[in-house]
Amino acid sequence: MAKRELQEINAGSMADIAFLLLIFFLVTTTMDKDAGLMRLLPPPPTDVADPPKFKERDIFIVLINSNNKLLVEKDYMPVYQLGKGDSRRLVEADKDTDGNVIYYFASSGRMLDKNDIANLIPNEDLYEKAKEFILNPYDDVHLPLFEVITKSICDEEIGIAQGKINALGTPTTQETVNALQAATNDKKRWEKKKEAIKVLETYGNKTSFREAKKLIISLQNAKGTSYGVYIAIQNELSRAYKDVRDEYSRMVFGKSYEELDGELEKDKIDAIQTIIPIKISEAEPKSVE
Amino acid sequence: MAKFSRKGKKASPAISTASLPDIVFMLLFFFMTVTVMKETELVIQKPVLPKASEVKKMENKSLISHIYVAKPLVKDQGTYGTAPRIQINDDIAKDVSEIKLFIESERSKTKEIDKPKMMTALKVDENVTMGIITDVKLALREVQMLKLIYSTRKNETAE
Repeated sequence: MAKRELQEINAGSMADIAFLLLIFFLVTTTMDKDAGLMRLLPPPPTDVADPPKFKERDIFIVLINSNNKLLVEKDYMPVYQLGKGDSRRLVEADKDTDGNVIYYFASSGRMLDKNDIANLIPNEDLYEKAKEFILNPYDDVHLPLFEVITKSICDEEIGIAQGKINALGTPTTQETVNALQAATNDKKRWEKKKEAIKVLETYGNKTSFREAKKLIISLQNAKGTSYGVYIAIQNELSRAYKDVRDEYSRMVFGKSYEELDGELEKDKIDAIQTIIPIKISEAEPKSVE
Repeated sequence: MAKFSRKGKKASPAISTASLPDIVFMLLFFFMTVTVMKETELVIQKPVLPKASEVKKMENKSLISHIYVAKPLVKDQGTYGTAPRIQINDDIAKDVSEIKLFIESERSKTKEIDKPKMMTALKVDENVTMGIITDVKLALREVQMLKLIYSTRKNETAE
């Protein structure tokens, strides 16, 4: 038999196979990305003589006790809800004997099934209340005190701080070092505000903004509070702040805060951060029962 | 003369695609070797992270130190009990003070310029109670590690 010439195998489809493999791996490799709520812890306590004092109207107290019950500004509130708007049903959180979170309807006391738990969202009342507190739109006397900040006020305050710095000169004692530090910080803060007003003037035809100097949201929890509930509340407070910033940004710059470009519109972002600073304090737990 | 005239159109020869698979395989292997998945092996149960909508994605993975808190594995519950435990590196921490050592060692591994950007991510099971978290937070404060991320799952239902 005559030797037949070996026929070449067509390798054209090899590329397709390799591509298929490549794409399969590209799609299936899920690198678990770190995503989460960012918070800045307060620095370790120093020997400050007096802790800062707050007026009741300036502080928004959110308390979660060890049975996962929520108290907002002394009002009791279910933590979760199912559905939105008028058709929503309020849901309470609690703990079972193993310490796991359990959920039941506030109205009937019936436990939720798995499906419902997956669709739970935090109670919108908390979000609304937090937003109202951050804005105090009608200058309610029970909500934080707002002041109107203008350029001339900034200039005046910068002048005062500069005067203090000049008067102190080169500090010699610990006391004067602290005083100088405080005055320098004051000056920086007011300069930032002035900068923010400049941005408002340039882009938004506004020459002033409202500011609540002492506004603070205090989130307090007990040792027994479940982490899941705590994070749900943290998330709602973040959402309230985000929406307040978004609305302000849209009003002044015609664009939501999220849409502002990190590099090109850095000045606008800085201005918003100066005008609406996020003030959520995470207190150390008290033993609340 | 006819010697030089073309006889009809000559079909251009097909480009050999035989080397294409080699190129693609090279790509495949390149990506397979370059992708390093820095994954700590869990010695406790995999924490079920709580859901949240206002999340920020973290760039720069190398600057994030992870602290896990969840119940010990069922097979270890004879030794460690059922209460939630803290895992740092590949081991269960005996107490909270180990966190300080952990942060210091992470710091020493980081370039000076990146030190202020370092963050701690807490990967905590949603059923863990806040007592242990507070202890962790206090320990982090003591070593001036103030940037904190509460790791969460992305929640689509709440916008």
